[in-house]
Amino acid sequence: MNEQDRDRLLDLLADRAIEGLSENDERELAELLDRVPLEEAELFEDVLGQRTADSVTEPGDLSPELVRRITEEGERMVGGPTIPGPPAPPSPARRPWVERLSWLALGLLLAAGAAWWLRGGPNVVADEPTLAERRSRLLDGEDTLTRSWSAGPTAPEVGDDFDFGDVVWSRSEQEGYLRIRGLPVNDVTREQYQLWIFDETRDAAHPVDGGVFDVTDADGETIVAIDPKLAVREATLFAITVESPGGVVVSDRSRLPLLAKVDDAS
Amino acid sequence: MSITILQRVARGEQSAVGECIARYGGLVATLANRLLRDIREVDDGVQDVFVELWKVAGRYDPDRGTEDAFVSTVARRRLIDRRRRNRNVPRPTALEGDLPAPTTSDPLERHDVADRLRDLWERLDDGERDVLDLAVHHGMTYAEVAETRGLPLGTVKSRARAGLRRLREGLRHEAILHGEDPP
Repeated sequence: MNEQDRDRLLDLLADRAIEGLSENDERELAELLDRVPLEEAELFEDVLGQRTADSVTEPGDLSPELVRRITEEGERMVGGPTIPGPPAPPSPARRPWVERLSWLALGLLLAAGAAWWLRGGPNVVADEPTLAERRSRLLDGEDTLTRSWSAGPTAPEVGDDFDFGDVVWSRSEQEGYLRIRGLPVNDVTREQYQLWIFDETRDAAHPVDGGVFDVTDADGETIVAIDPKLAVREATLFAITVESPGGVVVSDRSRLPLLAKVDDAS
Repeated sequence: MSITILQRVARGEQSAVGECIARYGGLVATLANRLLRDIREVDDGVQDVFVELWKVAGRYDPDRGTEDAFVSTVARRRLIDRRRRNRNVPRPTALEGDLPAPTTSDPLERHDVADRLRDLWERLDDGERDVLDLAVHHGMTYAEVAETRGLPLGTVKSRARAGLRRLREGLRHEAILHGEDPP
């Protein structure tokens, strides 16, 4: 960045902190910051914020009505509904009579050819549903949305009509599944895929971490259960990035192969 | 370090909402009165600020400054944006009395960056400090400062910009001296 650009950048940052910028100046600032990102771009605002906090010697009052409005709104936006966990797989049936038998008694029963034992008791061990089955059940949900993946900035090179799969999400169940096709197999010792869920009620700079996963079959389909770390109230965008093993707290989004926008009904 | 109110909000603790409003509602109300031109907008402006706080609470970093400074920064930005959208409403520029001296914060909340900033602010040139004080204490725009002090607009802008740059350099220098990452 040349000295003139730097001076202009600092002037715009100062003006923004003091009185805000016009639309043209905001655009100019954004372009300058794009060319040369400045880590302390918010420093002037922080400085005035600190000074402002110091300057308030007698805080004002809020009317009870205003407090009530702000509180109600805050309680809606913070925390939200109790997050129901993903449906637990059915428990294996218990066979209480097994626990009462000693190994000796069990051996005797087996020795006596107790075929009736092998037919099982009143409860049967239920097969745990597969991810595909759980995904299928969720598709019937009232508020379930399904959106196809589209190519992100670092998507693999494939044909324009390539089907990358889709994401299924239920707000009421706080449950969802990714169906992924076309992503390369990742070397788990070096990298993993990570899902991010952008929430209308949260800061876009901090999307909700939806969990990490691996792709083990480049030619087939991978189904992954979404594992949101926080309640997702109003999903607006799903994004998959490539990160170090275990994932990251904040992604630099430098490798972003897939996106699915909620308002693009597909 | 104990967890702060905003960090609890960021974690989704609804019980922190009421505490946040009780703790910072007065601060935000004062800033809304300073920065907004239309008294009828103050309540909406305050509510606007808290909506923003619920969204960005997770960005508060105790290493960068005090929590009330973060709230003030968020409030200033939202209220200035709101003011720009309604810029046609005139505001009296007469000052009443001297500018209040900033309080030294509660010792329990004292923070290195805040202390350094206080010292650096006092060491600004008189002209630079005056312009910035009017912006902070009275929420004045450049034009309003120029009118209040009878100065050319360009002079006011130069002093404000120079003052902020001087504070920035001072904070960076102090951070380096203390072996910290410069802001």
